[in-house]
Formats: sequence, structure tokens, C-alpha cells
Amino acid sequence: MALRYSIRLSGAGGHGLIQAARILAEAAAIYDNKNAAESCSYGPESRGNASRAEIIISDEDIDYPRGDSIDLLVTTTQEAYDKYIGDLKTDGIIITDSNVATGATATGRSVYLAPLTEIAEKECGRASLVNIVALGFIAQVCTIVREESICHAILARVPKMAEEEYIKAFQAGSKAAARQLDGKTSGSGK
Amino acid sequence: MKDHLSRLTERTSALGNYNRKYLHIITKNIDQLTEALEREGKFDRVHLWNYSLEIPGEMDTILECATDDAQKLDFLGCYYALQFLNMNLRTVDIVKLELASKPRDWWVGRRLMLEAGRMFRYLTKSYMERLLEIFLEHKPAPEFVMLGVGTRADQDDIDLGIVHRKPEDPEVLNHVIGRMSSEMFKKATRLHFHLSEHVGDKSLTATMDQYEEILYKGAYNFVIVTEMLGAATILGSNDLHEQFRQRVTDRFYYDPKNRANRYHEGYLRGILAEIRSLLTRLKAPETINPKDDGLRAIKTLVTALKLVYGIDKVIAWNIIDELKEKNPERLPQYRDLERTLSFFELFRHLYQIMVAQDEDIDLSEPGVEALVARIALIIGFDKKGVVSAKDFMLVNYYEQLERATDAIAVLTGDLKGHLHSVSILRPIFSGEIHKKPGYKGNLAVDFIRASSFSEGITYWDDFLEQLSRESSGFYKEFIESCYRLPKRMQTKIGRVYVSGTRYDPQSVLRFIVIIGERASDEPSRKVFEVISNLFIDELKHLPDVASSLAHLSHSSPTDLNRFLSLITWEALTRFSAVALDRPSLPGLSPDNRQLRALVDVHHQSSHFFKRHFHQILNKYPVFIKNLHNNDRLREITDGFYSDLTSLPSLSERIERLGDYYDLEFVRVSLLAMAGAGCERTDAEFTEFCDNYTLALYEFCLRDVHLSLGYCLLTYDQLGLYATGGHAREQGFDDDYDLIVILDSEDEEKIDYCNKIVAKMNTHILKRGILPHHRFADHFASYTVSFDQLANHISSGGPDVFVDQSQLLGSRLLVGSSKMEQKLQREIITPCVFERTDLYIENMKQEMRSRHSREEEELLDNIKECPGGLRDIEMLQLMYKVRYRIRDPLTRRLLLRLIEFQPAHAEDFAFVESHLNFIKNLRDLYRLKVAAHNVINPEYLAPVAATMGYGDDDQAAEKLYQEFLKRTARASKVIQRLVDDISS
Repeated sequence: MALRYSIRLSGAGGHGLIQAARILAEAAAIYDNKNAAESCSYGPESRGNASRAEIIISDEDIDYPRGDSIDLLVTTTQEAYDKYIGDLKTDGIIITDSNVATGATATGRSVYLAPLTEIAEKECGRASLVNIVALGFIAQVCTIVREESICHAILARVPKMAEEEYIKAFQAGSKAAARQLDGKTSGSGK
Repeated sequence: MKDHLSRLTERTSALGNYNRKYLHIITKNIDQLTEALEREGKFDRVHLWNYSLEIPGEMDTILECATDDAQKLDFLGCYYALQFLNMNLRTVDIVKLELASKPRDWWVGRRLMLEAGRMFRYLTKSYMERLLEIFLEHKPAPEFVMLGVGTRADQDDIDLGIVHRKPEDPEVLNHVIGRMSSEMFKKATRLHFHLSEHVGDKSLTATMDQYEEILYKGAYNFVIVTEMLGAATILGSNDLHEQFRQRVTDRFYYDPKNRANRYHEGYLRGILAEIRSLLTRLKAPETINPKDDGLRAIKTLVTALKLVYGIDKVIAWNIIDELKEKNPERLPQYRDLERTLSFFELFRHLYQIMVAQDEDIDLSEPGVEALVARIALIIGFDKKGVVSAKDFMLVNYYEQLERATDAIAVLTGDLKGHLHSVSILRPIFSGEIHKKPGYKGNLAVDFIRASSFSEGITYWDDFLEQLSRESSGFYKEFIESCYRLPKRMQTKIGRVYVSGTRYDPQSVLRFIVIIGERASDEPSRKVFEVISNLFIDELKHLPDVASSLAHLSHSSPTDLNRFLSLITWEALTRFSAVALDRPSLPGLSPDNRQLRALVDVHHQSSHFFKRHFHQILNKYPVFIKNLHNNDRLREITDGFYSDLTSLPSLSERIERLGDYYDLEFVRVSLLAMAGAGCERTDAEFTEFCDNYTLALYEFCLRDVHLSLGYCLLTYDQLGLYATGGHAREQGFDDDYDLIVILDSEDEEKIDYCNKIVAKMNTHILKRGILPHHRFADHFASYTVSFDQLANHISSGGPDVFVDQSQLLGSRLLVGSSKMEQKLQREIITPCVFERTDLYIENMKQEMRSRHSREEEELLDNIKECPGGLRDIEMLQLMYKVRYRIRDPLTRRLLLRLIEFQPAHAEDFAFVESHLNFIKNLRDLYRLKVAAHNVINPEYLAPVAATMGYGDDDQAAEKLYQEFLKRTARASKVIQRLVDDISS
């Protein structure tokens, strides 16, 4: 069966979520040789407020870069979670910042509460790296794109000399996800 | 010798990491491509390693060498990647060359950017034409036009709008364009179909009818329109593009023959609000962003102006050229815009190809500063003395920005003038409609109907101007029309008025503040209440309310402060709950803290505090912006004080001195409310109060001197003493006790001094403090002569010990030590210290008499209760006399008394800690609840929270019980100390 995987990243404008979406799409398309399409919201409503970016990864042609139902939802704010949870497939995956309350709306889905902002601030020293931390987390939880490809795509997006810092942020996200996955395997955290 | 690929890789290392993608594509395909070209004998017909001037032909040659479609795509992608890198390397070389000979010549920058745009469009257009052909698989293409709607030189993505002719065509087009998009995403530059997200139904393309439909419904915003107005054909039917112009975009141009330029007006309103929000947006301290700092505002303004002057160009520089011709009056402004546009575009372009494709340039990010420094050198900035090339360029960046901002202000002023003169709302503003006899409509409803242009429009300055104009009667009519509406309708209409909160809360807030500030009767107050509550509801439903409020706090601190002063307590409580949200972006935290500090001040402060707060804050918005940063506030007020003498006139100096007092009062109050403790706040309060009094005396002396034309006083003859709380170095009293002593019997001099003191009184009163002159009633003069005072204090009258206490507790503010020594030697020592027993007995009697009053309220009176402030003061006075100490009655005195009475060390230490406890309680009660000495346990919660008793339901009661327990103990300790005083 053909692969068509849809990811939505949403949160407050400036979180670099749009950049994260582009990195993920480039990783899939350029370094994993899949088809990928990415779209994002601009407009008066996105000036400093909520933003949304969507990626479709497929091994077939993609006619329209937005999907109705999504496989993976990554949110960093409660508002974004509330707005988009309805679009997530019943067996979909949610990655959300620890401060977001998921409640009954998440029933049936795999939920990962990740302290993304905290990791970016405390482990990486800069809150603006939250998008890269999120990519590390995504890479572990959803293996649709190879970690190595995401790293290539990250490096292609960052200034020289900042490379190490970004890879460290990616790894911090990845480790946080691995810890949660271990917890889930042993029956907790889901 | 290195091969071509190694050389290209090496040269590309000078560019940003983004170019690695292209090297990756080249590495994957170059061998097959070279082999195919050589096999077909066409290798020398194609430029692989240099920039080509014949890209379409060379692409065709490459396609001829491919064996199948997959190979065609790989070869084309490889060639695109090669040309892309060649193009960027060429751009950097040209910039270096051009700006080496003409450093910082921004007209060269303009030419370079136009060339960069042309080269990129040439490459992408050629590539896209061939992709289209491949993906159409030799089938005929439906009639369509692909329009480029973004900046031509932008390499991050290509913004597109696609229009097709026949409604049945989108399936084929979507498939072909979707494949093109995927292929370009992998190997070239991503396509962004912004318009398709708004127009059409899940399709990358739309018909003209669909575009017209969204315009008709108003389901569009100015961002989409700006893109459509900047559209230039990349591929497809020029005829269709022309029709698109006629049917879709031409309606946004101003047509003088039209009575109603509705679309034009709607767009201008969107743009004017957008420019304002861009210019007032929050900027991260370590970051520059050429696009948001200046380019976006310049380009949107230029697009708006082209509609006014009927210009059909799409590139900003070309539009500016025509604007210069059509509106020569503003030539200097257009030149400034052009200059900044050229510099910012060139800098941004170089940053994107040499560093990273981010709009935010975070100079604190590792390595970025060094890379920006490289760009500075390339575009012609040299190190100058101690200033590095990078710093020199950044200074230039901000200078250019400032110049452009000034030009934007002038040109948006013109645009507003044009808008107001052509507005379809003019008949409403002029009263032409609602003042017509027999008018049966409703102004508030009529305005909503007439002003529903499209989404996201928030420029309503003309409407707000009408509302705030005293003479027009518009406000009254508007309020009455709202008030007349049935309740449900009132809410419905009110919601429409606050619906712009989502896009631009600034304007909505301004609207509400005007309504509230002009409200003088029941209807206006009611309308204000309804609309302000709806505004708070609207805020609650914003997608990221904390961010919106942080922006609001940044851009409109004064309006926000006014709004919070005007709303009801219930509304304030609701607003406080909304403001508790923390923004998800860390960069907004300072503004969020500022907002919460402001809300706390309104929500958790007494009228006593607000009296000063309201008086001063609207005058100095910078203070509102720093409410959460007391150190910064201190710097500001210190600056105020230091700057006093540089003001030209005496009246200005006195006014500024008053502001200094009010600002310092607010600052120290905030410090107290933040829990700093009275030891610190008393010290800081006393310091600014002394500064104030000293400077006020100097200014009033000068004022009297100028008004009378002569000066009588010698400084050594006058002593201005603080007494009461201020002498005890205690902050936050209601009154200001003063004693003015003149060592002279000369009536003229006394009169002269009285004039000074009278002027001081006038100014002190403006601060909301009552100046109280202890001996004024007794001597019928503010100023008392030294001899009169000596006679009075030595008289031994029944209540003279009260005045003796005042004198004992006094502290010299203005005057020389000679006066202080004389006072000590000739009055205090003989009249008080040498009559210790009598004085102490009188004080004991007074204390007993006060304690014997059986008033229940007395127990809750911080000042008068047994163990309260008054008891501590009297205890200190008695011991002062007992040990002949001249120190002020401060907490330091209590500790000093331990030296004299080591046996009572523990008692004095307890009294000192108790003084701090009740002083903190009193200060916080005054600042957060009410300026009463009698505390009401019901209202103690905010005080308890600051004093560390928690914020649960029991906190207030816990604090109250602690107060009762401590004062009871203090009463016993004080009594013991008083009883032992003579032993």
C-alpha cells in the first residue's frame, strides 16, 4: 500500500515550527528520496500569533499539499492542540509540550508529553532551539524520515559554526523521546 | 589540478549551508550527465561550471541527451543546481567588485538586486517550463497562468498564484503542478501556493470566478491582495493574466470617477493598520530582521501608493521611480525609501545566500556575528578606528531604518489624507446621514454596515478621531444609538466592534478607552461597560492571548493603563485572570511581566497608591513599560532628579520635581508591594523625600526671590526640620510634618520665610500629601523664631511635652549644623534632657491614658493599639531623653539602646523586629487595601500573600492572628521597658 503520512506542527508564531516543517520535508524529499510537500499559514492572523505548518510525505505524487486527517500532530500551545486535535486520526500520534492539557480528546491516540521548551532552555541554552528539539523528538517517535536525513537537512538550514549547537539540540530531543519510549514499552506513559 | 566538482565544492563553502542541498544533487547526477553529454557530442554546448547566459537552450540540449523522463528530471535538476550555485557565486563576486569601487553606494545595491531577481526568475522560469512539458506527458496544457507573487530574488521559496480558464481543468493542472512542486522541492526551490489556501476548493489553482467570489464575499485580506497586486507572469497565458488584472486586481485601484471606491478603501485600511503594527512590533534585543524591520512596511506602502497613483509596475524600485514622477513633492521621502530598500534587500539577500535562509538574524547565535561581519566587509564597510566593520554596518542599518521610518510616517500621512477624502464613510462622519431630518436609522449599526470591507481591517483612525472630537456630537450620537438598541442587539453589535481584537487589539483598545474616558452619563457608562466586557471576552478567545497581550503591553502601555483604570472591579478581575497566561515565546516574557505588573498594580492596590499612580503614569509611558523592573525605574528617576537644573524655567523645574516625587513614590511602593521589606523601602522613601524637600526649598526660595526682586535670607539662620513619620524615616504617611525655625526676630525675614514655605506647601499639596506645620497654630506663622520656640518649650505648660516630643523626634532637612547645635544646646538640653523625670512621667501618663480606652477597634489599630507604632515611638522618646540621645526615632535607635541597657537586649531586639513586622503590615495595607490604620481582617489576603503567608483561604486569618499575638507580646515587653526606664 502506498505511503502517505501527514504531519502538522502548530504553535505560537516564531517558534520556528515552519522552519522545522521545512527541515522535515527536505529531509524526506532530498535525503530520503521520498515525495514531500509542505505548506504553512501566513496572513494577518499569523503575525505573531498562532502558526501552522503541514507536511505530507509520500512515495507517490502529491497533488495537494494539505490533508484532512493527520497522522502526527505536534503542538506547543494549548490553543493549537484544542484547534487541531479533531483532525488527528483515531490512531494518530500527539507530541505536545508538557504544559498542554490533553484530557479525553486524546483517547485512543499515542500521547507524548515532551518538555520541549524546557529542554531547549535548560539543556541547549536557547529557547529558540525548541523547533530542533522537537525534530529530535519526532525522529524517534515517528520513524518515517531517517534521523541521519533530518540531521543533513538541519545542517543545510543553519549558519556555519552553529552546527554543533543545533545537532546537540536535535540529540536532546531525541534522547527525551527515547526515555519516553522506554517508559511506554514498560507499560507507562501512554 | 582539482576537478570541477572539487573546485565548485570549495567555492561553495563560502556560501551558506543551504547550498549543500545543491551540491548533493550535483554529486548524485553529474557523472551521468557529463557522460550523456559527451556521448551525444554536446558537452561543449552546455555551461556546467560557469554561469550561463543561454539557460533555456542549454536545458533543451540536456533533455535531448536523456534516455527517459526520470533521467530528464535528474539531468535538469543537476543543471539547475549547477546554475543556481554559479548564480550565487557570481552574485557575491559582482557585489564585491561593484562595491569595492563604490563602497556603500546603494544605487549599485538596487541594480544588483534587480539583476539577482532577473537571474533567479530566468533560471526558475526556464526550469519550470521544461518540467511542465515533461509532466504534461505531451498532452495539451489547459489554459492557465502561473503568477509569481513574491519577491523575485527570494530563493527560499517561490510564491505563486495560479489561475486557469475552464472550471473542469483543475484536476489535470493540480496533478501536473503537484508533481512540479515535489520535483522542485527535491531538486530546486520550493513552491509556495499561498493564494490557493484562500481561493478555490482544495486546489492549487482557481478560476477567475472563484477569485471574484472571494472578493465579493469579503473572504480575503490585504495580504492576499498585496500578493495579487504584485503578480507577474512566470508561465502560461498572458491573456489570462490581463483578464485577471481587469476582473480581479483593477478594482483595488483608485478611480476618481467612482463615487465609492470600496475595494480600494478596504485595502488601504488593511495596509495602514499593517504598517502601524509593523512599526510598533516587538523586536528581540539581539536580533535584526530586515524584512520585518523595514522591507515589509516599505513594500506594502509602495503597493498602496501605486493604487492611488494608478501605477501598474510590480517591482518596488520601479514603482518608486514612477511615484517620484507622479508625486514629486515627496521626492526626498521616495529617495529615502529607495535607499533603505536597496540596502536592506542587498544585505538580506547576501545573508540568505551566505549564511542561512532565516529572516531573523540572531547575532547572539554562535558564529552569526562573524558571518555578518564578513557581509559588512563585502558590501563596503571598513573598520574605522575602534569601530568594527560589522558595528559600522549595524549603525548604518539603524540610521537607514530611522530615515525610512520617517519617510513612511510622511507618506502614510498622505495616504490617510487620501483615504479620508475618498472614504465611503464620509457621509456618516459628517453627520450627513444621521442629522438628516426624519433619519430613522441607528448610527452604530449604520457604521458597521458601511464599514464591512474584508477580513483583518483595523485602521479606524478617522472613526476614532470623530469619536474623540469634542465638538462634533458624533460621540453622543454613537453612544445614544448603541444605548437605544435592545440588549441582545447591543451585545451583537458590540461584538462586531471588538472583533478586530484578533488582528489589531491596539485600535480596539483605543476605541474602548475613548468611549470610557468621555463617559459622563448613564448611557455612556453602560455602553462602555458592555463593550469593555465584550473586549475581555474576545481576548479570552484569541489563539494565543498571552502573546497578543504582550504585544499590546509593548505598543499601547498608556491606553492599557487607562483601560484598566476605567473598567469596573469585576471586569478588572476578569482581565487579571486572562493576563495570567504566560506566552509560549520566551522573547515575549519581558512584555508579559510588564503586563502582569501593570494588572497587579490595578488589581491589588489601594486608592492611596493609585492617586499617585494615575497622576503620573499616563504622563510617562516609559514608567509603565518598566513597572516590573525596579532597578530600571530607579535609573529613570535618578535621571529625572539629575536633569532638573538643566530645564530652562523655574516652573518647569518645579513641575518636573513634582513628577520626580510621584514617580519615586510609585517606584518605592512597587518595591514594597513586591515584598522588599520596610527596612529597604523606608530608606529609599526617605532618600527621595529628602531630595524632594531640599530641591523644592531651593526652587521656592528662588521663586520668592524672583517675584519680590530681592533676597533676604542667610542660609545659616534657617532650619527646616521634618518631624513625625518622615523624621522617623518611615515611608507612606498621609501627611508631612514640618517645623521651620528662623534664628531671627526680624518680621520681614519671618514673612519672607513664610512666603517660601507657603509656596512649598502648595507644591507638596499637589502630591496629595498634607503639609502640617507643628507650631503654625500656636504662633500663627509657618516660621517660628528661635526665641519664641525656646520660650514655648521651656514654659512647662500642661501639654508642652507633646511639642517637646515633636522637637525631640525632629530631623534637620535644610539648614546648617550651627542651627542644629544651637537647638540642642539652648532648647533640647535645658528644656527636655534636664527635665527627664517630668518628661518621662508625662509620657507614661499619656500611654496609660491611651491604653485605658476601651474601644474594640483600638486592638486592630496598627498605630494606636497597645504594642503598636505609637507605643514604640513613645518608648524610644523616653529612652532618648533618659540617655540624652539626639538620634532619629528609627529602628537603628532601638538597637543602639541595647548598648545602654544590655540587660534588656532581648526585649529591644524583639521590639525592633516587631516594628519591622507592623511597619510592613501597615505599608502593605496602605498600598494594597486602604490608607487606614485600622486593619480589616477580611481584606488582608493580598497583604498576607506578600508577607509570605501564602495565598490560600487561611492566609489572611493567619496573618491577623500573628498580628494580634505579636502586638499583645510587644505591649508587655514595652510596658516592662517603660517600667524599668528609671531604674
